[in-house]
Amino acid sequence: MDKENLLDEIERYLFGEMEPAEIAAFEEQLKKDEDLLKFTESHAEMLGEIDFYFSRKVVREKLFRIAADQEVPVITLVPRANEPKPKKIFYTSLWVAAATALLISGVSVSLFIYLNGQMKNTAYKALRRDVEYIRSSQNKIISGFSLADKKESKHVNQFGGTGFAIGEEGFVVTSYHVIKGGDSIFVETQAGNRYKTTLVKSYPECDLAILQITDSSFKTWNRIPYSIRKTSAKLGEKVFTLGYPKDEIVYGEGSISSQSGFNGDTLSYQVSIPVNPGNSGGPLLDEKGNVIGIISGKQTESDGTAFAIRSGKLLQTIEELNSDSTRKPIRVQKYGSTSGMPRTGQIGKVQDFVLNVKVFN
Amino acid sequence: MKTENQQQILPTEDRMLKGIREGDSQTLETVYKSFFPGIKSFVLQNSGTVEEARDLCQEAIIVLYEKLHKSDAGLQCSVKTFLYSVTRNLWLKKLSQKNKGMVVLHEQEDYLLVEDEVSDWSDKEKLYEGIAKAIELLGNPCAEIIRDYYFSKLSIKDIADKYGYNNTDTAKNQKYKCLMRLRRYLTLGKGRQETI
Repeated sequence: MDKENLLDEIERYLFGEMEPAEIAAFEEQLKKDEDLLKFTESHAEMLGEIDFYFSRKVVREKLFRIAADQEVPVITLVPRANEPKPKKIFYTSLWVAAATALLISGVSVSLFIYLNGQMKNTAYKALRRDVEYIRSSQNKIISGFSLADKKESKHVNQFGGTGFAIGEEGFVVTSYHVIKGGDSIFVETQAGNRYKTTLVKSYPECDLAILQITDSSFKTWNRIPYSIRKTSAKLGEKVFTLGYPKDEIVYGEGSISSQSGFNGDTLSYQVSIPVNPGNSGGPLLDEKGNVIGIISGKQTESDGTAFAIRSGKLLQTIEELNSDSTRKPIRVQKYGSTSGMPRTGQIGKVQDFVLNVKVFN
Repeated sequence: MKTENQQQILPTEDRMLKGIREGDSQTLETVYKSFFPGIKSFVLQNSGTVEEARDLCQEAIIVLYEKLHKSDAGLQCSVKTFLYSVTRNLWLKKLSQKNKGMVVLHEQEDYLLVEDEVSDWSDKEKLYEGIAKAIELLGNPCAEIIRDYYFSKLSIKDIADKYGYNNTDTAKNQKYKCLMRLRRYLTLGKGRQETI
């Protein structure tokens, strides 16, 4: 048996995933083979340590945050953003029982923030719209609360955001947090065409994801009217965005207000532009109608302070993806075709390529 | 009804211990808030700063967290006494390092000798620093895959989706490679010999 399969078997034994007959056979082997026994023991110990290391780290970080919160006298005028809901995970197995019982705070938003430094009091709000959640909570208000409702909403969970087309072969860029945890992802065009997509690759660390339309009814994008800008945006540059905070496309305009994002994140811009849940993943376009960023979130305490991932990061991501994979490279439009047009003309051209991303889990 | 309300505000010792063991945010916050003032005044009286008190309070809670995970025996004293004793012990060590001589503490409360817990804690601290280093050395995506699989308990299928692997076999193989690297780094640090 090769080492990989052997390890797999050891872990299935340790995690309690074996059938009784398999367990008996494996334990028989352990009795005979002292090296295997030793290895299994040390492996269990190591996994226990790794697991406990992570849970302890979570507790440490929680305490650090609690202590930091105590530092400042609390004068709250604006409601603080909710912490991501802790996700409880239960499991039973030999080594785990000894190791730990744990709680993980939702890795979703916090992973991103965590990589960009400690979470502070001012919260960063990712703008994914939880459609089903909003709807079900409205339903509950209207129809009162029943157990049946609860069950249903748990199974059909829909959320979404915005995405935009790149490359002719049906590639779509969106935010990682928009599609995170989704089983099936669809995109809808302004014209009402709905296509199924698959996730090509996600980049939790920079909150980006690349999808590809896999629907047989999809042929190719017509000429995409925007390029992805290589150069950085200038402070004060006028920008606009199109997105789907609701089922109808919504336009918003503003300007680049800082060269760094939340907590000094240098991969992002701060943009003063009105955005709402659902705008995440949408393109941020400059006056010539080219993409200079991807809307990713906003600051909860102030209205009109949004954040966008720099287009340079997207280009770099696409380049990496192209060099790693054997599939046909994603070709990004070199030149935009709406430069010099009035804004309404630009919107008319661009809106067909801005997509409503719908995620189900 | 009234007693229930009171429980909400001040959890019983058992519930507090259970919450700490599980790393429950709410409990950690309650514990920190209720014991920090005492620890602060102790540290301030003994030539420390608020900053140092804050660190000590966090460390003491971690010592308790570890103790609760190490054995099911629970605590033989109140949470308050335990945290105070640990703080006192840690602070005494720190002071004697600073002053290199006799230290006389202004005592506030009764305390227990918690030598074992504290020395265990500093051993553990070293162990976890080792793991942290090894994980840092792994880099991404390996470090994240390890976390996702062994800690967050994502399935291989989830891992394959999240990192864009074509199938579960590729993901499995990647996970295997990452784990073997981690194992190598960890055993290098410990000087143990492994065969696989």
